[in-house]
Amino acid sequence: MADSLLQCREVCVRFGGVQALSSVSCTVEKGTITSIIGPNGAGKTTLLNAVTGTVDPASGSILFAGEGLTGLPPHVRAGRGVLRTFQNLEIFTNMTVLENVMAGRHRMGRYGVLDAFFRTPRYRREERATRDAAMHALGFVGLESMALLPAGELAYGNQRLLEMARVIVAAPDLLLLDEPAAGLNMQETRQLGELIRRMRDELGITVALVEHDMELVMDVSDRILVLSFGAVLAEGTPLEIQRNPEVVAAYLGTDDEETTDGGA
Amino acid sequence: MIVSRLASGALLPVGAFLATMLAVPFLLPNPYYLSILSLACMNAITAVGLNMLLGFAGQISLGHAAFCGLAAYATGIATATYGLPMWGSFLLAIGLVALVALLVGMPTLKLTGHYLAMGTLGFGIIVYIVFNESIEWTGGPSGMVGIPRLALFGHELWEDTEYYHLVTGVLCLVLLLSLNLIHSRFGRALKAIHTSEKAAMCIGVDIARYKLFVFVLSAVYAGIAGFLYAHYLGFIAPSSFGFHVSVQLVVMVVLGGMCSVWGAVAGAFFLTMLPEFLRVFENVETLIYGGILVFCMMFMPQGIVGGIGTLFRVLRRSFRPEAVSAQTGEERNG
Ligand SMILES: Nc1ncnc2c1ncn2[C@@H]1O[C@H](COP(=O)(O)OP(=O)(O)O)[C@@H](O)[C@H]1O
Ligand SMILES: [Mg+2]
Repeated sequence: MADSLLQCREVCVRFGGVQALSSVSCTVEKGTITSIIGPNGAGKTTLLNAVTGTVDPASGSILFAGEGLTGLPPHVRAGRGVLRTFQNLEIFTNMTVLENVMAGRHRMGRYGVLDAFFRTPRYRREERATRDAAMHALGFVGLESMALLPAGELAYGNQRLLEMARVIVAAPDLLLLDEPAAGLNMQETRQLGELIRRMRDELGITVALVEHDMELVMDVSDRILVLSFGAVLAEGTPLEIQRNPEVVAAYLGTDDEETTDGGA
Repeated sequence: MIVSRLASGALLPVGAFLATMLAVPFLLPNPYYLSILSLACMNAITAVGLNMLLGFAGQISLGHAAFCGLAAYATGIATATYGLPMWGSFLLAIGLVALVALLVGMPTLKLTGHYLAMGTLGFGIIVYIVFNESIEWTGGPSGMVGIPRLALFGHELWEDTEYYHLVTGVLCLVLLLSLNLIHSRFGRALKAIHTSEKAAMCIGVDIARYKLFVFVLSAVYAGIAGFLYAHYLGFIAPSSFGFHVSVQLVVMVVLGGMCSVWGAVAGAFFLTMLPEFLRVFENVETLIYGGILVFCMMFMPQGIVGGIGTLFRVLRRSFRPEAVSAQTGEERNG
């Protein structure tokens, strides 16, 4: 447990009367893909929000690389390498595809306002590097031919990929993906699974994946956390989760046999 | 190659604009037109700043004329009443505007949407009342006279052409700096805030800080315009900095096209000159003015510059369908 990249300890989040998370403890190990599954309203997005800082837990603590994140604003957490994508796409539609990805590198920006005002060599060097990194990230997800299009003109599936490129370019240490396969067809979902695996293997990114598509989850996950009504129902490898009678009863339901076959 | 194109990217159009503006006095040696154009330049300076706030960062201000007024009165009082030198007065006026913008921006930028509009609206009205009521400082509603003409290196710019050159130069400088800023990580951060604050903070943008920064910057631009205005006319009155002027500035930005710095320039020139051209219509002047605004908003929702851009793209696409893919390939190699 010592080198867990992310540790949530007894995290509680309340919205008025709704207890969205009640004492959730979990860990994400470095270099793994950890999936978080559970029915709608289980608190999966809320857990991601608590980690990225857009929601304040009422109690509990969140440790990233051994340091507490509690109380830090989202942009500081992003600065430390905690990046995320969104369940409902949050593409910058007022920019081109390339600019979107370049914007994703904000946390690595070093030059100041005066450098920008006067286009100093420092500005030029960094902009060139940012542009190269952005093209590289677009190449990684296969969108480089669309670099100059307005982001809003991309098809839905490509917008999902663009959001991936926007976080890849920021070289995250921990990447939280909130239902990245939502709205994708079967083929796109398979490619996405491949992409997530490559992000772990080739880029060394630790991934926490919230996803409903069980085939995808069972396929790519190293470990799985099951949430139900804001609490942890189970935790383990894909195989363990598929064989856990509680999970099967509460969540996996009739899909059980099919996915067991696929996973085993 | 792309980098060199970027570097010259802003210089080229601004240079072309400057050349055009400098040619006008030769083509139109009419002091009346020159004074209208000078005023248009000053409005454009404010509008370019407001455009960064409104068009890029998506934050509305209904009190920007107050920042013009603060600088105008500050420099008026400093030079006419206390005889401060011009450069000292400039620093004082701009410093004051920046400070006030900082103090106003810190609480109001936490507000969003209508609340931000209301906050800045309230600020503008308060400043307007102060201009009217502190009679011993500002001369009250009847205004303040005897503000000296701007002097550069001991030379007073009495000639209208000289002043025209000055405001054109300042506008071009402001344009250049603004375009450079927009094409940097700061510009991208502002645009990010505009579409999704959630996504912006999650890529590491300190939203509060950037909003405050662009608010203060736009106020400083307004202050520069106010400073130039006071030393141009030599006379200022509160009505030049009231609510309707603030609204007019917003209309300039929206009408010109919010997605482009040039839109603010187009909007400022258009709205400053339009009433002068419409003067011949006498009684129905206001009616036609309103009609033109409605027409523009209906048929050019992207503003003047946006409308021209769309037209240009449509034309280019119909002539060169391969343009987009060729450009992308070039991008990849660059
Ligand atoms: N901003 C919010 N305000 C109020 N209630 C919220 C908010 N966000 C989430 N909730 C509630 O918290 C619970 C968990 O939501 P969420 O984390 O979005 O679930 P999931 O992502 O697992 O579908 C739900 O009951 C939801 O209605
Ligand atoms: Mg969710």
